[in-house]
Amino acid sequence: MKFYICILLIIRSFQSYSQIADPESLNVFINKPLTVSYSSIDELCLPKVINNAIALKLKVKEYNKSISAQVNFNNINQADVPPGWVTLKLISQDSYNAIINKYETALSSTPTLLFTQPGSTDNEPQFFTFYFDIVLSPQYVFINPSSYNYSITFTMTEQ
Amino acid sequence: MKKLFIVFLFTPVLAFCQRPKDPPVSQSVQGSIVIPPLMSLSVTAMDDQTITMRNMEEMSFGRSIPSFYKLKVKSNKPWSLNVRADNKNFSPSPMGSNNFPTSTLYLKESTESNYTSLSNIPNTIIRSSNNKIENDYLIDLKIGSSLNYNGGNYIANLIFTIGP
Repeated sequence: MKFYICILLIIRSFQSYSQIADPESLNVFINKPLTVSYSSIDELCLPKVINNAIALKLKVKEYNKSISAQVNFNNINQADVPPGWVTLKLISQDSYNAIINKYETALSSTPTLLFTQPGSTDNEPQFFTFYFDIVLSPQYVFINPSSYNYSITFTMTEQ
Repeated sequence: MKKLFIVFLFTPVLAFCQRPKDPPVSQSVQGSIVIPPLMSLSVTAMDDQTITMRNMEEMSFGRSIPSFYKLKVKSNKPWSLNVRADNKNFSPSPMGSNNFPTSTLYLKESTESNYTSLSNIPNTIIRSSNNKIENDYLIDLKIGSSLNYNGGNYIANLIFTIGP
């Protein structure tokens, strides 16, 4: 019996070690400056796009992961920000089995699901990259002249 | 019995081996959206901007021309629209009185009832009344009595400006 217990503990130790040594990960890379400046009122009335702004690199193993995003404005009361102003548009990805919730997702101050990445069946790590445009939606009502500092937070959650 | 004992012993070990869910992993990127005060104004006049006083009644009591100007105002903040004439008096071209004041010109937004007299000092004729970025207006024009001035051709330039 001691033998079996020892075997189980050893397996458990290896499992823990492998998770620490080889964790699943999410990394966000900025491809273009994320600062946008408007120079005319006509620009404000049209969508403004930062093409290929962000690359999201995932390393996943056996468990399904949901990826969500939210936007928060640091120096402005969230209520003074037009709803749905900042949108992430998925333009390309190399995952063969990701389940895309929406290709264009308007962000809010709470997490919104972008896509779900199924885990691998053989427990081997898999690497995927998702590329996004940032699209600022056109405005139709007054918006205070100001500098709106924002952060987009991506979160990977195990399902 | 010994096997049963082993199963009982293994149960807590197996439970111990149950893998907890990974904690959520987050990463953020920062950016900035810079919006200065932005405004634009376009003024479209009627095709024929020449106004003729056609009879004695118009000479005496003036003449109104509805929708003489069409304005498109765009702004991301509250605004007011001012108009002024470039001079205190009309310019006779080539003949006419030198003292025909541009204050005989009046403008109003077409849905309003009261005209605003012009001068060479800016006068506000419209203020933003809603929070829409884009608004269109029609402007009515009126010329007051011109009986006291010689017949002739007169020119005045009107300058429309939009500001906070």
